[in-house]
Amino acid sequence: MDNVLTVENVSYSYRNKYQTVPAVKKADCTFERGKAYAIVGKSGSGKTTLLSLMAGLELPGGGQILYDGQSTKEMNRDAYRRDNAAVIYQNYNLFPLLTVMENVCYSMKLKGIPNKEAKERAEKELTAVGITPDQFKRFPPQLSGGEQQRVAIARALAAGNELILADEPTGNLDEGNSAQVVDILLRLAHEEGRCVIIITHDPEIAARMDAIYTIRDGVLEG
Amino acid sequence: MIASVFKRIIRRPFLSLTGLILAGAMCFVLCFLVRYRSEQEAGIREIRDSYQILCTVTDSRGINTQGLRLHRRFIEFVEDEETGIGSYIKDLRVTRELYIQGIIPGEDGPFTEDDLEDVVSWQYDSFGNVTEVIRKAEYVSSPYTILFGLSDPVCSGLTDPAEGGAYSSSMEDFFHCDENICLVPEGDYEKLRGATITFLLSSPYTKDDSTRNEGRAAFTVVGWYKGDGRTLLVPYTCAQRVGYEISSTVSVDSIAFFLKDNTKAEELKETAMKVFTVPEPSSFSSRAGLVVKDNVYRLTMREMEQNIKQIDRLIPVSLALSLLTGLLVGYLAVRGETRTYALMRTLGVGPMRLGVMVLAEQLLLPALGSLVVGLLMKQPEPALIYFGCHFTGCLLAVLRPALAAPTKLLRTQE
Repeated sequence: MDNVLTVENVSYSYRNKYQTVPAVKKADCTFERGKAYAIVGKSGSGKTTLLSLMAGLELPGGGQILYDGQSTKEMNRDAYRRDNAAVIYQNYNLFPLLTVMENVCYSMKLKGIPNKEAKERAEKELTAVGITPDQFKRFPPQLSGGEQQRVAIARALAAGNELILADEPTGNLDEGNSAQVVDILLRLAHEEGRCVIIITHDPEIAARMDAIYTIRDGVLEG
Repeated sequence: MIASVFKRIIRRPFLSLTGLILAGAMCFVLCFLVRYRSEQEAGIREIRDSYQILCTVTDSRGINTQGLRLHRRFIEFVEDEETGIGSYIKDLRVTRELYIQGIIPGEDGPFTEDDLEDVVSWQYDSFGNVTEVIRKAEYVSSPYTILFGLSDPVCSGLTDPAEGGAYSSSMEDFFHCDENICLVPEGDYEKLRGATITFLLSSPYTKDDSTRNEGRAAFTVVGWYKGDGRTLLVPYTCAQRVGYEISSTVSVDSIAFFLKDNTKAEELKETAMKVFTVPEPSSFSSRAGLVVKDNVYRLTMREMEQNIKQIDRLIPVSLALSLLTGLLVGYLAVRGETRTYALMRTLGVGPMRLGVMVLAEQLLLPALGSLVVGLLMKQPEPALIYFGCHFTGCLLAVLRPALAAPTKLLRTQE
């Protein structure tokens, strides 16, 4: 067992002035390096909240999330997201004012990787996800949805983070592009030894993963 | 990260230029106000230090300033630094007049015994016979009628260059000399140069112990004044001394002076009113009046002080607008950028770093604008203050997205 992420009895509620809404009631699971996981569930079941907790964007109300044995409550979560966990969103989330190349280099520059090395790595990863060199200098709005999502994946790849958290990465893509993106993510897990966690409500995509977790009304079931 | 800040500035040219222009304009307004204020202050200082407020003693109606025949107590009061107004004044200018009755001929002067005219009189004896008696006059009829003593060339239009007058004297500092010297009209100078002439003088004042107030005094011609009038000009102290010798009186015919310190004009007026009066055209008082010509000074000072007050009201408004400009520029910049900030946070940019980056992005061009305006207008401090306000406004606008949790930003985006 090579656990990279452990979710221990995690719960989380959204609070506002008037009410408290439990989003995740009880989640227990472990994620290993070199495997791809799917978390499936209906809309509003708490999938995205769980992903935010795993990405260190929020802290659990109860229980804990451990990355390599260290709780996200005790670590520098900005550094955790920068160095260990990469998040890919359904709506691509690229910087619209930066070119494709600059977008991919951004997270590497945050890590302090020199420009030249960052560019070389970005070129390699962009090519690997099927982006052609003539597209490197384009801005995200000049690309199709599938291309943008592949750039977002290239950014996660280039950053070298071993935990890839993808929130419905194929949600806005057609069938062909979806299959390509899933292939890339599976390759990341199986060939590069990273841990890929995909949130999806597409059973076909979930079926291609190594393990599936289902979340129902905030309760995660293995 | 600096490179990415520059890229974002360049790739949002409209917003960047708006920030630059707004900051430049607001900074210009503040610098202009501060500069105008300091110019007004400098103007006030200059006027206060250099403007000469002339005070003139007049008759009670304020019409005559010459030939006032003032009693000695007036000049004593003016000169007295303890109980009078001596401590408030400078450049005292006084004159005294004596009448010239005639010229006493001398052996080697320009007028000799030969110039004396015959005086014819008739003598009656007890029988009623009339005998004509001819004798020589005691003095030569003088072409000059007034001996005018003055303490400064500006006391008379004859010598004041500002009024077209001119004079020349072989004696240095003629007006403060205590010797019996005089200036004659320009046309007579060649004839009388260096001559000593004895005049028969009379004073308008009566001796206490005599009805006669005449006397003789000799004056040496040392220069000329412009014009060919009937006046001889002598130093004031000399006229005063000669006048005292012939009539035991000290008096002055005109007094004028300047204020030592313009800010003490009101104090001077208050003290001066113990002796002088405010001239009234309908007055029949025998008191002398004092005109303090400070109207232009007061009006100018009041206008400049009002300008400063208005600027003092405008500066806080300008500062508030600067703050609002910063807030507006910051708001415009972060509006619609929630997604970018959320993304930065998910990529591991800390809130502090995000705040600094966003601020740098918003402040780089306004800082440049403020710097240029501050340097061009030579007002670095107001430019810095403006930038401080702009910075604060921008900071307020940027704080919220910078400090918000990334998931909150993502929810806002969605």
